[in-house]
Amino acid sequence: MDQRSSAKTIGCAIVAGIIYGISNYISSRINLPGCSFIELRPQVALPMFMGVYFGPLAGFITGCLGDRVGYAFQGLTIGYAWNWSIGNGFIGMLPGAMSWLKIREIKSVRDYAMLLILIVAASFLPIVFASAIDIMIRELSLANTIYSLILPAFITDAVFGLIIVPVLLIVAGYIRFTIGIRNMLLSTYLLLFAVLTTYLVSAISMWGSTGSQTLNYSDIYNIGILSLVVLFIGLSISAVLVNKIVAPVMTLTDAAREISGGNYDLSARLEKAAKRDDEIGCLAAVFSRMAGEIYNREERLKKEVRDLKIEIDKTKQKAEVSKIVDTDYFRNLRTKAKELREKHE
Amino acid sequence: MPKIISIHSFRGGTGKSNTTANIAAILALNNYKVGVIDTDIQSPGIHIIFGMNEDNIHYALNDFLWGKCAIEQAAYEQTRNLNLNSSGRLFLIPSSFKTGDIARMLHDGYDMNLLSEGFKQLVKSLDLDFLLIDTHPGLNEETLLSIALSDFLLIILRPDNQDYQGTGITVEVARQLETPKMELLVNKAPSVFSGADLKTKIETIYNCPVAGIIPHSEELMALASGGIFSLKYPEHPVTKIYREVAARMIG
Ligand SMILES: Nc1ncnc2c1ncn2[C@@H]1O[C@H](COP(=O)(O)OP(=O)(O)OP(=O)(O)O)[C@@H](O)[C@H]1O
Ligand SMILES: [Mg+2]
Repeated sequence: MDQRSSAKTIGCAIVAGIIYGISNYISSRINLPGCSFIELRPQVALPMFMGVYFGPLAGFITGCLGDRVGYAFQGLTIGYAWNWSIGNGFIGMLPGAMSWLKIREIKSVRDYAMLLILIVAASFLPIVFASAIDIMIRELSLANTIYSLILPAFITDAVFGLIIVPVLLIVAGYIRFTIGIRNMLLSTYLLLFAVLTTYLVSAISMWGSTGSQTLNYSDIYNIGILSLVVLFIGLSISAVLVNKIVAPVMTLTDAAREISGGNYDLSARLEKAAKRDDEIGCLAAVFSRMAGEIYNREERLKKEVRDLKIEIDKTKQKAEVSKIVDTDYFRNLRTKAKELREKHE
Repeated sequence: MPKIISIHSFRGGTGKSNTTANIAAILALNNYKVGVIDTDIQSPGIHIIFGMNEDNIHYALNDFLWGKCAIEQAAYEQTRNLNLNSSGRLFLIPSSFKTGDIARMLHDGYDMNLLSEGFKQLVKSLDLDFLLIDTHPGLNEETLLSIALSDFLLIILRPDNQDYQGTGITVEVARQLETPKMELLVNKAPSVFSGADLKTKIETIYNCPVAGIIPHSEELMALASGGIFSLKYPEHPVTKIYREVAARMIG
């Protein structure tokens, strides 16, 4: 992120903020029939993306400015719901922690897991912050706040963030497609859509059986939270499993890199991977054996060169030389050559 | 002043002809006029690297030695067919590879003085900067003559015990002929040989500078004397060594 100049960063953040604000205005007018306070805000992915890609400041500007722009379209002035504008700023700023963690590109399962955690955190903490201020200033009841503000926003924002932010980052080239990341992407989307389907099915069936008038929203939100917990557990398990798949592959690629750099002594390093009872274990074992063979051969040859003795039999050489030089032909030649050289000089 | 350079090895197959052809091409690329003469009358070979065959050879070195032609008539310019983009020129004076000619030469011999006359005339009439002599292995009379007339002797050896002894003899004999400059070139070194180590070892043993160590090269081997390696692979490490050796000859 260092090379992206700050002026350009802020420019991008302002543009993104305006887009975010317009989307906020549009989405605030579209409500699900019958549920006046569920607002679907896929655009929440935008400040999150800006935070990850351009850093916390850009994320904050996008979120905060966007919120103000949205209100401005509704004719509301600066003082209105300022706490929610700051909260929106935090939604963009929190994922910017990626750059504090020195992650400049998502290239490992750990980086990717960090991204997901930050997206979830950004969907939750800022809303808690803004709501807490609402509770204090507007004296809303806690239960009411949780069920009418925090939970609906948290569930929808988290789901949209988890679905959309990785896509934006892939488009921006911020995610490197390592084997680990591919596996994680696969499991994230599989789990996400599985959990989402279950959630929607149960929500719709509840709606169908009770009707919108008597529908108990808190049940739906509880199921939503439960779904997110299930999703979180599923993702944690898959992160651990993917790491188990990927770690030995990384060991192998590191070993291969070392070999090309001329270090063949890898048996100790590959020992653990080679013990695995699967394809990778087999690959590591073969690889380790091959590297070992090359290493031994190389060492043997090196030793041979070190021990290389150039032996010349001096007496034999003298005899051979005199056989050549002690001839009339040679003596003549020598004189002639000398004459020729002297003539040249 | 024109320079006569002999490329020699005590044993056969060390890479004399390939080295000669490559260095000649590099010198010509550096705008020098270069002649290459094949004095390996018994087993000529360098013409193959230049892609010559019986159809495009009329007179050879043998014809000059038999008094049938002037030496320039046996010189074939290669500049164009090698596409050398320089103001340099390259001439090849092949030795006849007709078996009859070879047999007759071995049987009747020839006048050694004529050979040395030939070198001189060649340098003069073609206005050469360098005359490179590709020699027959061993130390027969025409090789001794070539060494005696040379300003620079490049002795090629492989890192092989069979080559070490013979190289010692050649170095000693060349010293007695007071060849002004003599250098060794190690060819076909296995890749594990660390260059610096081998170089110092050989330089101490023979008390003679090593111009370079050329590794055994699959690519050179695969070219199979079917062309000039350094022209085909200008970026190859082996080409770089040929260039360094040529630079030492330019001095
Ligand atoms: N550095 C090298 N690496 C691999 N092969 C080589 C190398 N140098 C030469 N050769 C191969 O060795 C063979 C002999 O080379 P060349 O004909 O040049 O040797 P020579 O000393 O002229 O032989 P002769 O004594 O028969 O005239 C050729 O097949 C050539 O391609
Ligand atoms: Mg030869």
